[in-house]
Amino acid sequence: MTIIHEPLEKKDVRGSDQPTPHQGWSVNRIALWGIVISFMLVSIWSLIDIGVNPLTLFFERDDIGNLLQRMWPPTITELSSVWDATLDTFFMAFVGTFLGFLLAVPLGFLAATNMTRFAPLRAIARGVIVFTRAIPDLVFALIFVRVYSIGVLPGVLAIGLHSIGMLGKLFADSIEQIQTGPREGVQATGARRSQDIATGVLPQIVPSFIAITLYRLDINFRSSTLLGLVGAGGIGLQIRAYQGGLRYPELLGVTLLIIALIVLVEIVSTSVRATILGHDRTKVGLLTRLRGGPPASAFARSDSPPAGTPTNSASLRPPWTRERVTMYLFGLVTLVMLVLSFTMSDMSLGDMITGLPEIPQVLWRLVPTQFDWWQSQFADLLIETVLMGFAATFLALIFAVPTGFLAARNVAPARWVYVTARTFILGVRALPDLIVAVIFVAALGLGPKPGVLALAIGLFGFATKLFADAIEEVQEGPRDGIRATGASRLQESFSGVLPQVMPSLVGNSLYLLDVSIRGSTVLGIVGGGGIGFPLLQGAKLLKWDLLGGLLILIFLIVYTIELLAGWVRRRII
Amino acid sequence: MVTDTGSRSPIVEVTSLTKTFDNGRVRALDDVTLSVPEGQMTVIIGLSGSGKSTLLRHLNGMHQPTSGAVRVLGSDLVGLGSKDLRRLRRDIGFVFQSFNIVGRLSCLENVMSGALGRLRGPRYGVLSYSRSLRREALEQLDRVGLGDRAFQRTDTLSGGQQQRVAIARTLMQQPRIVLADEPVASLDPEISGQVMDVLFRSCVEDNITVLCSLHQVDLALGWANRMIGLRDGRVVLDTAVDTALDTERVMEVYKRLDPTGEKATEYESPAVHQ
Ligand SMILES: Nc1ncnc2c1ncn2[C@@H]1O[C@H](COP(=O)(O)OP(=O)(O)OP(=O)(O)O)[C@@H](O)[C@H]1O
Ligand SMILES: [Mg+2]
Repeated sequence: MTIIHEPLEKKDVRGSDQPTPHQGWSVNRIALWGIVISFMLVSIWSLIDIGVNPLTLFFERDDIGNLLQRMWPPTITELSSVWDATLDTFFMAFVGTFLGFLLAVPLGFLAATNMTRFAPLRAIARGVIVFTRAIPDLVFALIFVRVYSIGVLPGVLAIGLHSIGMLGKLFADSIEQIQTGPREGVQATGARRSQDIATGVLPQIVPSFIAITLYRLDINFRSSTLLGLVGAGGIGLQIRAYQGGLRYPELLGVTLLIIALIVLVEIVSTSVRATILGHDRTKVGLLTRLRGGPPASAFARSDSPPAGTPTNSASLRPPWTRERVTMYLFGLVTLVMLVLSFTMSDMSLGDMITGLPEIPQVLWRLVPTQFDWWQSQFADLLIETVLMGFAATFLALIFAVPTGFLAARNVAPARWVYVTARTFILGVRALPDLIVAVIFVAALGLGPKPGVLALAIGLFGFATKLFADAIEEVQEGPRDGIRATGASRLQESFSGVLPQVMPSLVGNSLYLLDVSIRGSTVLGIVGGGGIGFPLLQGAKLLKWDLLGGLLILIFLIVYTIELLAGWVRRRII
Repeated sequence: MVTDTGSRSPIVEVTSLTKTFDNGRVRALDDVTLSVPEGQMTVIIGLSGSGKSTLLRHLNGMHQPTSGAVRVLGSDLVGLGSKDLRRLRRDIGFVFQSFNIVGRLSCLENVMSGALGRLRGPRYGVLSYSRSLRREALEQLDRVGLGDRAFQRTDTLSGGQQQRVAIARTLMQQPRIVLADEPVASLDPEISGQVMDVLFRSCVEDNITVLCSLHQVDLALGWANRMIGLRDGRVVLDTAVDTALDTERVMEVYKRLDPTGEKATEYESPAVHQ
C-alpha cells in the first residue's frame, strides 16, 4: 500500500457539465458545507485525540535525530542478496501488473455500459472492481503469504488482484468514452460483434489502456518494495530483517536505494507513456518538462507520411513509421521482460498457474461463518484507523497548499523556486510511507502517532503534486485582470488563482482523505496504530474468520468514504 | 409519379412506415410509402428534422418502425434477427454525414473493414487481412483518388478526403444498395461536388442503387433520376428528375405550411440552379 494512487476518477468529464451550485442555499449546498465543516471538525478532534499537531515533527526532532544518528552512515551490505531482492521486487511488480491487466481487460468490458447490456452482469463486474480496489495489496499479500508461503508468488498475486480494481475501473471509463460513430460505421458494413470490437472499439482504446497500465506499473513498483514487510518477497524482506535486527545503517542504505529506484521507474514509465499517448493526453512529469518538453507522441499526426507525398501505391505492407516501430518495440520489451521475470527471479510460472485458480477458494474461506471472532477493542481500533486517516490528511493539507503554489510554474515567485519545490516533492513522493512508518516507529515507539506522521508525509507529496498541477491549469484571463488593477503578487494569487482552484482543491482533499484512510488500515502492520495490527495477528494465527470479518468492515468504511467523497466531488468540481 | 423505371423490380419497398420517438411525442415519419427499383439514383430532400435520416436508417435496420413495413432486397426488415440483419447489411452500404470512420486506423484498414461481413473472425492491423483484400482495398482507394494515402492515419486527412475513405469502405462492401445520409453536409461546396461525383460515379459503374439525402439540390441534379421531398415526416414530392424539374415544386418542400414556424425562418433556402 503506497500513497501514490490512482488518478482522480475522470474528473472533468462527469463533473464539469454540472452547474456550479453557487446560487442559493439548496439542500445539496447545505449538505455539501455540512460535510466540509464536519471534515474540519473531525480532523481537529482526531489531531487532539492522537496527540499530533503540525509541529510534532519539530518537537520530536531529538528522538528522530537520535535515530538518524544511529542510522548514519547509510550502508549496503550483502550486495548480492540486495541485488536479487531488487530484481525480485521489479519482476514482482511487472508480472503482477501484467496479471492485473489480463484480468482487468475482460472486467472493464463487462463493466462498461456500452459493451454489456445486461445490468446484473455489469453490477457484478463493478462489485469486483470496488472490492479489489478497497482492499490494500499489502493485506492481500498478508493473506496469500499464509496460503502460498513466503516468496514472490503471494506478492505477484496480491499486486495482480489489487490492480484489477483501478485498471478495471479506468478501462471501463475509457471504453465508455469512445466515439460511437466509428462503431456505427463498422456495424453498418454487416460486421459481427467480435469484428466490431476489434475494428471499431480496440483502435480507440489501445493507447489509453497501455498508458493506464504503465501508470499502474509505476504504482505497483512502489508497493512491491513494501510487500516484503509481510513476507511476500522483494526488497521489503530486507527492510524487515534490518528493522528486526536493529541494523539501522543498512535500513537507511536500502531505503535510499529504494527511493532512487522509484524515481528511476517513474521517469521511465512517464517517458514511455508520453511517447505512446502524446503529451496532449497525459500529464508529463517534471523531469520530462525540465529536459525540454515531452517527446513527440508516437501517435501524433506528424508521424503519418506528409500530405502529398505519395506512398508507393503498389506496396501492400504498411511502412515502418515511428508509430509502428514504437509499438513493435513496446511489445518486444514486454515479452522480454516477462521471460526474464520467470528466469531471473525465483518466480515460477508453474506455481502461478496452479496458484491462481485457488484464489477464489482462499477468499471464500475468509467469509466469516459466525461472530465469535469479534472483540470489543476492534471497534476502538477501527475508529482510530478512521481518525488517523483524517489527522494525516489534515496535516498534509496544511503544508501542501502553500507548497503547491510554490511548485506551480505559473505562480511560483521564481523559476528556481519552482524547480526546487518540484524536485523536493518528487523526492518526497518516492518515499514509501510504510518505510517512513518503520523509521518513525523505531524513533518514537509504537502507536498511531508515528503512523499518522508517516502517512502525512506521503500524502503531503501526493497532495502538493495534485495542487500544483491544478494551479498550473488555471486560466490566465482572470489573473491578468487582477494584475491590471495593480495588485501585488500575493494578492494576485489570492484573488485571481485561489478562487479558480478552490473546487479542485476541495475535490482533491476529499480524494486524499479517501486515499489516507485506505493507507491507515495497514499502518498497524509495522506498528503504526489502527486496525492493521489485529489484521497481522489474524493472518499469523490463521484466524480466517477474524481476518475476513475485519476485511469486510474495512471495505465498508473505505467504500462509504469513497462514495461520500465522490458525491461531494461531483457537486463541486 | 415516377414512371420511367417502373418495369424493373423494386429493391426497396416501404409501406405506410410510421416512426415515433419519445413515446409518440415526436412523429419523425408519418405514413411513408415508396418503392425504389434496382439501379435508381434517388435523392431525398427536406428541411432539417423532416425525417430524412430516420427514413434512411430504417432501410438498413438501424431503426425499427413503429408501424408499417420495410422490405429491402426481398427481406422484411421488421423483426429480422440480428444474424439475418447482419447478412443483409453486407449488401447495403451506408455513408454517414459524420463519416464514421475509425480515425486511428490507416485509410487502407478503414477501407478493408468494409469487407468484414465477408470474413469470419475479427481483424486487427493491416497485416491481419489477406494480400488480395489489401490489393482490392487499394484499388477502391485509388478509385476515390486516395491511393497515395493508404497508410496514412485517417484522422489526419481533410473532411472531404475522410468522406472519400468512407465511400471506398462502402464500395469495398460490394453492396447492392448505398444509403447516403447527407454525405456532404459538413463539407464546403467545391469539395461537396467532388465527393458527390465520386459517390455517384462509382455507384453507376458498379450498378448500385443509391438513396441519398441532401440539402443542396443542385448537387444531385447531375446524377439523380428521382427526387423525393419530405416534410414533417410525410412525402410531399416524388418526381423524376430527367423531366423538366419545376423549381417551384422543389422549393415548396422547404416551405412550412405555417409561416411563423421557427424552422422556416431559421432555414436558408437551398440553392437550386438549373
Ligand atoms: N433518436 C431519436 N430520439 C428522439 N427523436 C428523434 C430521434 N431521431 C430523430 N428524432 C426526431 O425525429 C425527427 C426527424 O429527425 P431526422 O434526423 O430524421 O431529420 P433529418 O431530416 O435527417 O434532419 P437533418 O437535416 O437535420 O439531418 C426530428 O424531429 C428529430 O428530433
Ligand atoms: Mg439527418
